[in-house]
Amino acid sequence: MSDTVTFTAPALRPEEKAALRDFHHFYEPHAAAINDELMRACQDMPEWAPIIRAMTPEQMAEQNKRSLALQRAALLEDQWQPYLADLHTQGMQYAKAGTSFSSWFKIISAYRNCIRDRLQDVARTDMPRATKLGEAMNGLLDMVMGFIGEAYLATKEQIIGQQQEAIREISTPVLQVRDQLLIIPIVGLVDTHRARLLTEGLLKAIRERRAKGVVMDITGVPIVDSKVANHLAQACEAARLMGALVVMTGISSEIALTLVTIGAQLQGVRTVGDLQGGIELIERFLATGSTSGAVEASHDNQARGEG
Amino acid sequence: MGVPILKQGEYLVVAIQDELTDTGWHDLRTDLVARAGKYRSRGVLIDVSAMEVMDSFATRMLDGIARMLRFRGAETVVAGMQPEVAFAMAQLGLRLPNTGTALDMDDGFIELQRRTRPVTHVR
Repeated sequence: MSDTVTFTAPALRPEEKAALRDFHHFYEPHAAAINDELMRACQDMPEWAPIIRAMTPEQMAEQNKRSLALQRAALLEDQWQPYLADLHTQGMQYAKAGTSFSSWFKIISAYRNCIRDRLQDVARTDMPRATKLGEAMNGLLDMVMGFIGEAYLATKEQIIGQQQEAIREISTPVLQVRDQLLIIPIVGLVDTHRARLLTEGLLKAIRERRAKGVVMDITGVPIVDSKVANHLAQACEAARLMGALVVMTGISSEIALTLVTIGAQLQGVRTVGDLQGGIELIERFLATGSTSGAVEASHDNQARGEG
Repeated sequence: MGVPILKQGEYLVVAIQDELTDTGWHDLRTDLVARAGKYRSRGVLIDVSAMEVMDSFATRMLDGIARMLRFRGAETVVAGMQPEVAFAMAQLGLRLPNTGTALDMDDGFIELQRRTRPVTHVR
């Protein structure tokens, strides 16, 4: 996946590039030793120790060689693409493996410490160079963390998106109780997107199953604000246009209070206290064509000549 | 040629075949109300299953036709609305408060019978 994505190389000034080149020249001879030290530090970190132990020394050496080569290509030859792609892949892997972000910062600070010890050796002979190297290292590490972080968050967001989609898919069932009578139990938050899916599913079911009555039970809807009320009223109205009677049930006293307080109009929606009452009403309607017993929240339907 | 209006016993049946123009709607309204009076119809069934769009104008015309027909003693039932059309209408807040609605022509006749069952004598 990472090889199909293009990453923009960081915009660096020539002196920054020079500093990074110098940093790599300083780093490369120490790379193996730093890695060893880092691995020892990781042994004490609960999140990393199992990962480190799972790798053979050969695998580890291979991986270190690879990342060193990628870093060399980026810093010395200005070939950022493979390096950034590798960081992106790493971020994705950590997100998928559930590695916490803070444990990454622990590794980075351990890494910083390893390098700082070696920078002190340089500082004894050449203080200005040591300062520049330190700055270059900080810049590089910030960039690396930024890149890993972005990939990490993007992957997490993608996972969340997939889960939301899954929840939406399973959460709008339309059940047939008997001939011509459907029930839609709505559970969970209703947002615009879900209201649309719900209405579409309802209308499709009305046509496919030739329903004349629908009980929409909202016992499982935790929050009903004016927007949600509007969505539900629209679903009822659309169903009426298809020739089906919709009864809304399961409005708790809290939700009823909210609706009254915010002045939400469930225009044209018939309401009954509970699911049982709703089913009874529709059964009566299917048998006799009468809807007495249902409260209708609108006045404009009085002239419809019901019954 | 306007929309054909068929007489079926006490009822009139109209199937709107494609999107009507504004004048088409006006002609339909005039024809329908005149025929309902002429045949002393008690109900009008309007099939809209071929309509892919129902805008505010069409909705207002249908509602107006239903109200006019009611003045002349006939109930109106709109039958066969497509789910997409119903959904769009609900979203736009377009309503048909003065007509009955039905899934298709079969249900439409049943709904018409239900609505016109108690015969109201002119006093």
